[in-house]
Amino acid sequence: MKNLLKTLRNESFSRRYAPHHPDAPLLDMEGITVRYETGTVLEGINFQVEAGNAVAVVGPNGAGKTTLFKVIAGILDPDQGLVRVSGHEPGGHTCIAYVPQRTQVDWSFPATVADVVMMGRINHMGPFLWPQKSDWEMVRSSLDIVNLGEYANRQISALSGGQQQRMFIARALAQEAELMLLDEPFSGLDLPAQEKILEILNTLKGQQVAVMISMHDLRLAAEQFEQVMLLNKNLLGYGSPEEVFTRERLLNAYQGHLHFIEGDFDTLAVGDDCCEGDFYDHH
Amino acid sequence: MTIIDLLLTPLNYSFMVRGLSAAVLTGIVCAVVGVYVVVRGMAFFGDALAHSILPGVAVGYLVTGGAREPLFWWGTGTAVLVSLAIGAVSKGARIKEDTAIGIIFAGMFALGIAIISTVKSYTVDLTHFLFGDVLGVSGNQLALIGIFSFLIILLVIAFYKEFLVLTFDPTLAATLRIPMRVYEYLQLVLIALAIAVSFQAVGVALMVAMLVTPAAAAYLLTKRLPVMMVLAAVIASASGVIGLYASFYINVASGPAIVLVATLFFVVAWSYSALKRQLNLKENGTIGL
Repeated sequence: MKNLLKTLRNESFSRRYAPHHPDAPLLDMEGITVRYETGTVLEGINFQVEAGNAVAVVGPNGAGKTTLFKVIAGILDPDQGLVRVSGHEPGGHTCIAYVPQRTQVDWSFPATVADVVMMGRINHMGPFLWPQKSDWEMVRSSLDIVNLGEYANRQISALSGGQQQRMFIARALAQEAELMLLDEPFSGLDLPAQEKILEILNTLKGQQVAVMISMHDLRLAAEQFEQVMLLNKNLLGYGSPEEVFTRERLLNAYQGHLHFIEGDFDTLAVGDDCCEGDFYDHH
Repeated sequence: MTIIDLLLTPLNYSFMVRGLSAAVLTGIVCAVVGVYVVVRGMAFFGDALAHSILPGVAVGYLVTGGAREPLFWWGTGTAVLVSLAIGAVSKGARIKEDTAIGIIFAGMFALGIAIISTVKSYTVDLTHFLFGDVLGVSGNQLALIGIFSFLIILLVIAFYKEFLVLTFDPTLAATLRIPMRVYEYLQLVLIALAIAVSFQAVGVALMVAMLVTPAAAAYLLTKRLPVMMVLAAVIASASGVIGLYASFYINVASGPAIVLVATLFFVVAWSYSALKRQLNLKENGTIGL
């Protein structure tokens, strides 16, 4: 019976497993434009992400970072442009995981950490089927990767901010995602919690999982990521921090909201006076 | 009279046996579906939906000349229609969702009472519609309640993981290509069916208590959704049985008796969880679980 259901599902839902084209980049964005009633949020965005890349996405508030992620994840259809995942339209894929901002989650929900991570397995189970032993094993190993093994049976409200973030990374791992989109995972976290997430991101890199992370902290982006993306409605730069974080480009992106302080060396001190009052200097 | 006599005496009456069965079945169904109502914060929707089936039942009451059994189908049809209508209206409307629900709720309820009031001797039947008449359940009605209860529970189990994701994280549902709209409407229809099934037992006015109270009590006692469903079902069945016995011996109306027992369960659960929280706070300075 179970096998029958599995076969049925693979037949009728096979579009969830659209084949990957071996030569195509993992993610290929072409001329993406998104307009809301209030105006254009993203305009003519072109870029590619390869397997195993880690990209820090920075830009002022309202730059369209979350919108960009939603387009990539296929939650939001762009008004113009094409999103290709391994050579195909994203509709056929569930290999992209979107990790929401922590404030958008109902933490009083009656679920344990393992329950939430198990949600990532849904498409790997058949319709009508409950989790199998192999699903639970996947959940356990995902939690081990993010060092939350001992928290599996805790209620989600008992987690700290950093642990909450790691739980969602574990869910993306359980989903067997090849591209993870992390929306502001560092905001509100203290340094040790940030470091733990950075460590996990390193592990992911070893497993050829690509990651895109939106953040406010330009210094963190410059120091920890080989690739950065500067966004403000348009794609203002994409490449190494040295190439992208130039004075003109940053001014262009942040306009009045940026303060430059000449440092010891060529780089800059930057304040992004966003709502959270982040202020980072670079000396 | 021994305790055993106390427990067995009511069972000599077939109306009591049917009533107890109906109370337990509808209690379980309402509690399980009510878990979604509680975690999604849809109590007002549930209350409104229950009241909104009254005009359908009233029309059926006029058409069939007061026969009870066809009312099940009138109630079911109306509940499903109204749930889908509220679902659609609350999506596209320019007014806030609870306002929209309030308008539909009061309007439909008034329409129902107006229709019933055209019948001369309407007060007894109206009372039954409002507050339930679980002891008046016939054998056929009980069979229908049984079949529909089974179907509702089956659907909840079959689509458990889809409903879970939809309830906790609609964004994940979207990235996983789960057709959310379909499941959202299915969930509304399940709530509607639970209400239609339970209409006879507790009536429209107290329906929201069956949806919300056992589930809320269970919420305070567990940290997992499936456990919450089982606990809510147990609390609701116990409330049904205890309420009916109370109604038998101290001669109070059955619907309110069931609801009062469920409320008592909630108060106990609430006290227990508050006490536990206090103790944990004292012991280690954190809110433990």
